[in-house]
Amino acid sequence: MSSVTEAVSSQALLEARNLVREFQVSKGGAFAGTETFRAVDQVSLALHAGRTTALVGESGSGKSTTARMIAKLLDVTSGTMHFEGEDVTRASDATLRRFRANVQVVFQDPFSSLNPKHTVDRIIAAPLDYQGIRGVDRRVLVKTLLERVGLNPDHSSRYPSQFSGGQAQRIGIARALAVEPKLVICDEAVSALDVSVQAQVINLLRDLQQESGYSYLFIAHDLAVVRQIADDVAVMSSGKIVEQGTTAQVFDNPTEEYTQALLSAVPVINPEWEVRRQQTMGRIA
Amino acid sequence: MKNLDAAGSNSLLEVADLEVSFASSAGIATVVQGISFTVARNETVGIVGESGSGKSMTSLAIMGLLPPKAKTTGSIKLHGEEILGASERHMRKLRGNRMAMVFQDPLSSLNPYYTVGMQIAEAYKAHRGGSMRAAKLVAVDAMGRVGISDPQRRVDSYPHQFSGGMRQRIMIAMAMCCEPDLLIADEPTTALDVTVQAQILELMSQLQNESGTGMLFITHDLAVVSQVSQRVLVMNKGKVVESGTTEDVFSTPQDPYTQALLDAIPRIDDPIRALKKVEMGMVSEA
Repeated sequence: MSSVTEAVSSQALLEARNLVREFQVSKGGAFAGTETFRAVDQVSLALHAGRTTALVGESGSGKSTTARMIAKLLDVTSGTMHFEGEDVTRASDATLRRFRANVQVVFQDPFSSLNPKHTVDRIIAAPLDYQGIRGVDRRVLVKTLLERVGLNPDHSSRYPSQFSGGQAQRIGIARALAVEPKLVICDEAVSALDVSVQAQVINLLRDLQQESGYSYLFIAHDLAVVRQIADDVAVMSSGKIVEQGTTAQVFDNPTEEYTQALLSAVPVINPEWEVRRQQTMGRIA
Repeated sequence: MKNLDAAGSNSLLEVADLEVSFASSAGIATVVQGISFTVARNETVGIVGESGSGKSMTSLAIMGLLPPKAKTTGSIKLHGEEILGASERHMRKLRGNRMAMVFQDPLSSLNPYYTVGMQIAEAYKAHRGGSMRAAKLVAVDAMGRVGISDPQRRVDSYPHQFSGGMRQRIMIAMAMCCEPDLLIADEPTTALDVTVQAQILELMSQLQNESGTGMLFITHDLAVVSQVSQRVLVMNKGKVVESGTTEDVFSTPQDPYTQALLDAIPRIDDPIRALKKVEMGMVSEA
C-alpha cells in the first residue's frame, strides 16, 4: 500500500514524513520523575487536492496528535512536513502565515470553538485579520459564506448560542473556508452531532469539496462515517499507522489483524432488514 | 418477543401515559408527552432518539431522579406497584436494589476519593446490610463477574487507575451487585471505543442471561439498539412515534421520522450513499 502513496506523492498538497511526537509524562508519584511517551511514531501521510484522507483509530491511538502536528498547532519532535513542496516543518512568520491561510481546522465542538461573545459576522471574518488579508468586502464575503454552508445570510449579527449544534458547526465550517484554504482538517467535526444533522453536514462537506477541490484530512473514530466520506484511509494504533490504502481496500479487504478487529467491532444493522426496508419503500424490486 | 401493549402479568415495568413537563417563565415545556410501554423479565427494550427526544427524561422519571421542579403524571409500575409519586425514602429502597442504572460517563458517576471496591460494597451494604467485610467480598465477586482480572487486588484501586471500559465494567458491577430486576442503561457505551463497546455489550447480554434482568437500553445509536434489543421505541420530540419488535421497526418502519432516521445513518457496509435529509420540520435545522 505504501507504493500507492509513493506513486502519487510527487503531486501531494501536503506531505508528512516520519512524524514523531514525544511527551514527557509523570511516572506516577509526585517525585518519581518523568519518562518519555511517544504518542506518534514515524507517521507518513500524503494529502491530495480534491481528496479526503481519513485518519482513524481508537482513543489514544495518536490520530489527534498527528492532526495537530499537520495543522501546525503542535511542534513535531522529528520528521518533516512539506506543503506544496515547501518545507514547513519549522515554519515561522511569513511562511507560517502563508501556511495558515491554506490550512484550516474545523473542530469537534462548535460551541467551545466559537467565541460566544462574538457575532457570526465577526467569527467568520476573523481569520482574514489573523492572516492579514485585506481588500475583501467582508459583508459580501460573510453573506456568501453563510449561503455556501446553508445558513440564512441575514443571521450574521446573531451569536453562536442562538443556533442549533448543526448550524453552529456550519458556522465553524464557514470560518474555515473564509481564507479560501486548500486543506481543511476536520477533527471529529461531525462526531457530536445528531445523526440527521450529521448526515447534512457530511453532505455539505462533500458538496463544498466538489465545488472547490479542497483536500480534507478527516479525523474520526466513527468508521461508518469514514466509509461515507473518505477516499483514502490510514488506520492508527499506538501511535503508528498500521494500515493505509483506499477506503475500498481498507474496508473490504483489510490485511492487518488490528484493522479486521476494529471493523468487526462496529455494530451493524442486520443487512436483510435493510434490504426489506428498501423493498417496502419501493426503492428496489 | 412479547406483544408491546400486552401489559401482562409478566411485565416487570409498566409505563402508562407518562408525561414530564417543566414550567418556566417562557411557559410549560412538555418534554415527555404521554408515552406507554412495558419491559418484561429477561427482555431488552430499546429507546432510540436524537437529543431532546425525551429518552433520558423517561429513564430519570422511572428512577425517580428528575429534578424537583419537574411535573410528572401518568403511571410507572414496577412489579405492579405504582412508584410514580412514591416517597423519596421508598424510592431509595428501590434504587440500586430492585432497579439500577448505568450512565454514559463512568468517571463522573464514580467518586474519585474512594476505592472502587468501597463504592461497590457501599451500594451493596446500603440495601442488604451486613458487615463491610462481607460487602467487600461481594464487590470482589462482582468485579470478577464483569471480567476484571485479579479482582482481589483491583478492588483497592481508585477510579482513575482504570481505563474507560474498565470503569464502565465497575459501574455495571455496582448496578448488578444487588441483582436488580430492572436495569436502565442510558447510553452506556457511547463514550467508549468501538472495540470496548463490543465487549461491554457482550458482557451486558451475558449478565442478563444469567440473571434474567429486564433492561431498558437508551441510546442515540440505531445500530447498537438493533443489536441489543428485542423491542424498540423510537422517540421524537417527547413522543413515541413508532414501536414494535426490532425487526419490524428496522425492516418495515411505518413512521416517516423512523424512515428518515434510517436513511440518515452512515453505514459501514454500504459505501457512499447520499445521506438523506430528515425533513418535514422534524429537526430544527437550516
